[in-house]
Amino acid sequence: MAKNEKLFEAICTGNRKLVEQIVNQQVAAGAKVVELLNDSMIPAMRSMGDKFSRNEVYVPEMLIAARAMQAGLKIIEPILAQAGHKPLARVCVGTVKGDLHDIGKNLVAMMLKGAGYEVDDLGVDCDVAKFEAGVSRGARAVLCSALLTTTMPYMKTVTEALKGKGVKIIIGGAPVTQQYASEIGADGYGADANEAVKIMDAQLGVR
Amino acid sequence: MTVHITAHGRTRHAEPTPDATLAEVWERAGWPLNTRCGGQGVCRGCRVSLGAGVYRIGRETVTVGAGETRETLACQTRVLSADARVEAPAGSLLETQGQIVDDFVLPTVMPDPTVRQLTVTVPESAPKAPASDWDRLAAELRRALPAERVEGGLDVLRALPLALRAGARVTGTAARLPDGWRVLEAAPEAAAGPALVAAVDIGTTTVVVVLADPARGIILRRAAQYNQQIRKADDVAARISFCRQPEDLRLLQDLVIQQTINPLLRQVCAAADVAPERVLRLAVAGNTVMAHLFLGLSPEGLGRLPFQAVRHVHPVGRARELGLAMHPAGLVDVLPSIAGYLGGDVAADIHVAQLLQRPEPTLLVDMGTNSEVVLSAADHLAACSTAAGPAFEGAGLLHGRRAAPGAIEHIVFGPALDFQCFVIGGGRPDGLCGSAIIDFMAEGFRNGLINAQGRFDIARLKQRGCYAHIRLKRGATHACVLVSADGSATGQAIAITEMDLSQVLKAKAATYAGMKTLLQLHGRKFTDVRRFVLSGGFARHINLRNAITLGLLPDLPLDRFEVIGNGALAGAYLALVDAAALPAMEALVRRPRVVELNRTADFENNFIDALLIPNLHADEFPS
Ligand code: B12
Repeated sequence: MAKNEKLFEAICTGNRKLVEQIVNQQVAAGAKVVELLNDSMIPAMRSMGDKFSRNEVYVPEMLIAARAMQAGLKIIEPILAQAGHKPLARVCVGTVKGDLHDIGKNLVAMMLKGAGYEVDDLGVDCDVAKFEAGVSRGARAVLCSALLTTTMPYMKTVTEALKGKGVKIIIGGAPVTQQYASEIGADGYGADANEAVKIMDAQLGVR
Repeated sequence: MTVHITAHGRTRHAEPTPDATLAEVWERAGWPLNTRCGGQGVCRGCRVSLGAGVYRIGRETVTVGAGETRETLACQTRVLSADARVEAPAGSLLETQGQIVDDFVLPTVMPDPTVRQLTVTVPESAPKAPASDWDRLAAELRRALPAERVEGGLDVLRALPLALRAGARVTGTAARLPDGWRVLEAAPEAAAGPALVAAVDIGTTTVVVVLADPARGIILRRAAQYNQQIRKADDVAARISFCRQPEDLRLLQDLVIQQTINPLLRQVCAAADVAPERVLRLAVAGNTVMAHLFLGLSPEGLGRLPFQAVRHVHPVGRARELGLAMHPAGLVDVLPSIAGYLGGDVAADIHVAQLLQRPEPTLLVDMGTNSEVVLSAADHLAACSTAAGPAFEGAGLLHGRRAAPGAIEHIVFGPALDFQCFVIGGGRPDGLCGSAIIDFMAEGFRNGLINAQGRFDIARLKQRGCYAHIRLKRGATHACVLVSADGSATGQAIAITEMDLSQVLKAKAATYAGMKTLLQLHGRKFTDVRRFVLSGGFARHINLRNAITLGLLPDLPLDRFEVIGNGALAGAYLALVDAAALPAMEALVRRPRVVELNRTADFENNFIDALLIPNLHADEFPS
């Protein structure tokens, strides 16, 4: 199926209502949801991500686009699951213990989904056990988010607990730096949600 | 003949009747001065400063030259020349409905100070009913105050025999405590110094101290400076992280007391010509973390879930224990906090704005690095805190700075991008503060220079020659040059980048979303709000219309907004001059329902909607 320009545009401009409308229409008309996802929705998020990297769009537009994407995904996810759709890889994301900020983490999750990953969202205030549970459900990478300087040190605890279990540990969030990631022995650091995708692609060698 | 009179930054024009004193001129203009002594020229309550002109002071004719000023008592002075300019310090204005004292507005209160100085005649011990020195003094004070319980410490007992040796007239200075009065000092009448108090607002960024005379209910002096803890860490969370070890906690306490408050106390006392020991009581307002650091309590629990304080309501502290530059036996009141991120500053706001006394649906917001929001109505009181980041205080922006002389405070322009910048204190600017960026974004949006996403019309910027491409650590960004290199004080152009715009959008979105979410939780809309109280230094300087255009404030008729200024400082001041204030604040901290926005599903949606100018739901902003 060719790219659905209208859907692509609706996601990029964050028009939630229109995205829902187009997706519903397409599903009702019998379109293949996998193609809808791969040819229109994922490219839309990827394109936003690239523009974001080039500083052509900023966080507000990203968040609005991601929310529109989420609205579309919500409709097709159950159908995808039935169709036995194969994602690139399974990863889990969570905000660390003591921290409830999740807007950035949600955006990371959304961009990963938008890039074709299966995302196990562990939510906020995640202790080591929650991350371990994510790994035992098949995640090949763990992405930790922290927005407070007071909760950031918990990433070290997570990294130490998961080291040697065959998963990649990627950290991010406003106060986090590459230097800190190296210091605690994490496998990677991403400054923004699009970098999260690039790092995943590189570390898991899926693209 | 016109006289221009100025007080708290505003000027009125008065037409005096022949032979009217300046005190009468002020009174007729609606700004009565403090003429407690009945205009006898003895109390110095109506001090004013004369600008250029000819005057009669008493019987003498005085000429004040251009550029000069002269202090005088308004009740003793008459104006002889036209267009004279006279300015009154805030302390000379009489309390009317809502006194505007320096940087805050107070409700009308009956002064009932928590420190009082009384001179009593202590009788000799009667042979028939012998009584100790203390018992005789205490009996007199009990009668004079009047009070049931009066107690005193060892230092008072040590001074008492000496005082009595000088004569029967003894001046006692006593402080009110929950269960009675404590005598802090006893001195011979002739040797007693004044009994003053100081109110302190400990902000994360700025600390303000005002010196006041509780008996007269007036403010004598004010001084402010950066909170020196900034040297170690700039926001609350970073300060919490800093003091993991007890010695680091002591260092932060030292930085706020020894390096910040004490120099300010010495400064206001020197300006008022009194010794710092004449400050007998001090009241402090600040957020929960600041209160902890001031008292030397560990803020660790405030750093992560569930954000718990060591204590919310504090016992009366001792100056000696805290090492404050004031009377060693002096007392220290710390305003109580509501929750981890709703501190004594918010308790003060609620009290000062009289939210509990007024039934109409009211929204109060204290905007700053953390914006606190309180919703009150006849049947409920709820509060939340929403982290906005430092953009409103000018920090984190490329050329942002604090609102102080040299900063651009307001900006006006049209489609031609003819920027008119108003600089605090005049002269060339060296940056811009929070209120200026609000103007810039609102004007830019109106003129089509900035779109709803906070992006510039690059073609227009280039066409007008104000475009710049600026490299930052995190990549390059488009920018609008506001002031060229040769017009600025730094020798560098002052510009606003798209990155700056996005920082402000996040800050305004968090604030607006916090308010909206709190209302939604209580089944209300912005239009239900009858009274909208804005507290804090930033709100005092913003153009409300522009803040609405930007979508920071809701689109309500302007007459519903009430700007109260520094509510925290006002609360600390009231705690000293109105004995009912602190108990009222201590009682109210249990009342609000504390809402955690992170646990509220609507917040994220409201936040994302509000990231646009004015909002994704433009219908919330009809005008
Ligand atoms: C919105 C917000 C909130 C909301 C959170 C709502 C929610 N559901 O998340 C509310 C109001 C509830 C809130 C509460 C608090 N907040 Co807050 N909050 C913010 C604010 C304004 C924006 C954060 C945000 O969402 N940004 C948008 C997203 C998209 O950006 P982001 O999170 O940075 O994520 C990006 C990158 O960092 C990266 N990323 C993020 N995670 C990850 C993970 C990986 C693996 C990778 C690769 C990348 C990555 O990708 C994202 C997209 O590019 C910031 C200030 C600011 N201007 O940034 C303060 C801020 C983060 N909060 C702060 C504070 C102090 C608090 C509170 C403790 C105090 C309070 N006022 O109540 C509470 C604590 C709550 C808690 N337990 O966590 C401080 C932290 C200071 C510090 N030094 O630690 C900040 C910086 C504001 C400030 N300067 O005071 N907050």
